[in-house]
Amino acid sequence: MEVIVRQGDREERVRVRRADSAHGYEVTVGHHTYQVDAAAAGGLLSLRIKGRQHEVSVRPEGEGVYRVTTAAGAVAVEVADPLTHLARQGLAGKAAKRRQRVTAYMPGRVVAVLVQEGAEVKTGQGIVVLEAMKMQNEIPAEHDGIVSKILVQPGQAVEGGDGLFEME
Amino acid sequence: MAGKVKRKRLRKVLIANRGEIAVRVLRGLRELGIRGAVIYSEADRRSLPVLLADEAYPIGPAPSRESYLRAGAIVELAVEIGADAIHPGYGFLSENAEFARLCRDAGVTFIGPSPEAIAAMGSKVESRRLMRAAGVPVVPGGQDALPDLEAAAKGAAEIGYPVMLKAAAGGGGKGMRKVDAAGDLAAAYRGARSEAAASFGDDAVYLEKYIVDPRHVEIQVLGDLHGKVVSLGERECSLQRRHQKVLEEAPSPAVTPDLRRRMGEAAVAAASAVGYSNAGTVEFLLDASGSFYFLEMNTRLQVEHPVTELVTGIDLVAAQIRIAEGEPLGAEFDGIEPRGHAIEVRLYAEDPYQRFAPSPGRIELLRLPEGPGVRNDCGVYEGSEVTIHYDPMLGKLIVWAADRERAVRRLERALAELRIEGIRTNVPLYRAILADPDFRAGRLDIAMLDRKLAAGELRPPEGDGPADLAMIAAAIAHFERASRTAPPREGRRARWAAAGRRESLRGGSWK
Repeated sequence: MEVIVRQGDREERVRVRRADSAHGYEVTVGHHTYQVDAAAAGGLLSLRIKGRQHEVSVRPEGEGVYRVTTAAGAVAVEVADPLTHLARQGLAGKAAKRRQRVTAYMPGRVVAVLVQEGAEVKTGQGIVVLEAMKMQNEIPAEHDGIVSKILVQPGQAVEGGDGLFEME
Repeated sequence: MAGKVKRKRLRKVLIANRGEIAVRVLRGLRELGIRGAVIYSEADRRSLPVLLADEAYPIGPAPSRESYLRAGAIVELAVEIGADAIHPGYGFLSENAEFARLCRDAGVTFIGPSPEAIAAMGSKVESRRLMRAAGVPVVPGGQDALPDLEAAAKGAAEIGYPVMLKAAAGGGGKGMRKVDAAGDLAAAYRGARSEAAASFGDDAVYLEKYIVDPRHVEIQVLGDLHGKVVSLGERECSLQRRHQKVLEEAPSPAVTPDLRRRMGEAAVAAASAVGYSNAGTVEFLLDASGSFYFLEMNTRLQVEHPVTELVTGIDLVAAQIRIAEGEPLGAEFDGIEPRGHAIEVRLYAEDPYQRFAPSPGRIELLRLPEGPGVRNDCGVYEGSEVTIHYDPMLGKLIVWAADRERAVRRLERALAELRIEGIRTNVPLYRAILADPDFRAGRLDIAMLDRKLAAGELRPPEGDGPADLAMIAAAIAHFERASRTAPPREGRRARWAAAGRRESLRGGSWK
């Protein structure tokens, strides 16, 4: 299997094939090839590379998206086959607008809307305040841009997955 | 004390709480041979306290207001099921004087102090007045608005610099000025008043002593029904985020045996001033020069009680029950000095790197650390649902070791063993805190955690695996998922080998 793997700012071409031993894989990340012995252990994964053992967890979180937890913490890793990856790259051309819909990650109540439609906002700026679990949480803009649509109003109850606002 | 105290063994106790503290109390009751009954909301039918209880009774739908806060219904239930007493836990109705009164009127023992003591310590104004009268130091200053600069100068001279000017009508840092010396007062006074007027429409300001880099140090007290009050030593709880405690330890790295004695005496005086009985905690601010000031008293058992249990060997829940039964506090509660060091962290279903957003969901995997010096007061099990209705605390992880340095290493070891999957937790923040040089040196103050978080510090330490580890793991998981759907093309021997590989990877996390 050959895929493109993205983690944070890193993007690598990765090849995986079975190796000869019972749990073995040969995994090439960029130019580096690893012999990996992988064994499932009670919901977690034990990876042995050159005698060093790493207990990790890999949780699928969508098409080709995995949340991988290692001793260093948890990261999101995206795995795409090369054709899908190229197609996505093409779509995200310079001329294409990045429209993003931000949804509620859990049910709650909208306490406040902090900006107006059309407002120019910066990364991390609070857009909507949601109340859940006796606490208020500010939902921020994930990048600089313009809030093109506000989809909720104060006092409104929302379910997980409901749209809160759209950004460009 | 008026009248003789009746000694009455409790036979059945109703726990008016949920989660880890309900489990804690159930454990205490079971060890004393007392039947434990719990209430549960609709969301908690399958919760751990219910599974461990002798008796369990529904109390209403999920929202707290319709369940765990229904004071009247809970007391009625206690009477109906023949419970001799109610243990209120912490939070919910534990510091509700009216609830304690309802219990008393219904002839149900409230495992805690009297309604009068709860009410007295529940009022900031009243408790400060009582503390002054009892000779317990309080933060000098008050809430009387300063009529003019002369009054401010006089007040500041009495309190002693540095002082804080604070707006009477609001907070959030507006209308606040720190004044280091008399020469700076006039300008600060004018500035504070005009800022207060602009921010709150009310220019009134008052004075308070400015306590430099205070620590939050609290004293655990126990009082019996015969008038005896003892101190069980201190806990340091300076690591707080927005005034919520994040990590607690005992003893405090800043408290000497002499200071412990003096703070203990002050705490006992504070509790005695309100005729306190059962378990309680007197909170102080401790400044860099070793002066301490009464902050408030919590008239209940606290979340962080385990660190005191571990360094004193005293079972606080058992003590609460025996006190409620009318037992006097014996000599084993006198002259308690801490042995070793304990640290507690609170496991929350929230993501510290996404602005502490709560993370409800199903706990798909839970592996708690064990081994020497590790205690888990966990309120959930693998498969539990964490809902949005309540405080998202999963439980507490507490370690004990011979000294603080060993306790820190033990806690790092325990956190490395801990695995919680299916929800986000605040564990990465604790790994970062334990690696922080100020924390490791015991240099703590109540603003420290907020300060470091605001400065973007406290990211978890890097592991020492290969940089490609996460990519390798994800790629293998993806490969296995893809190969499940693809038909095998190799010969028969290869198919057996492939089946063998799939078998060894079954149960892995890429279903």
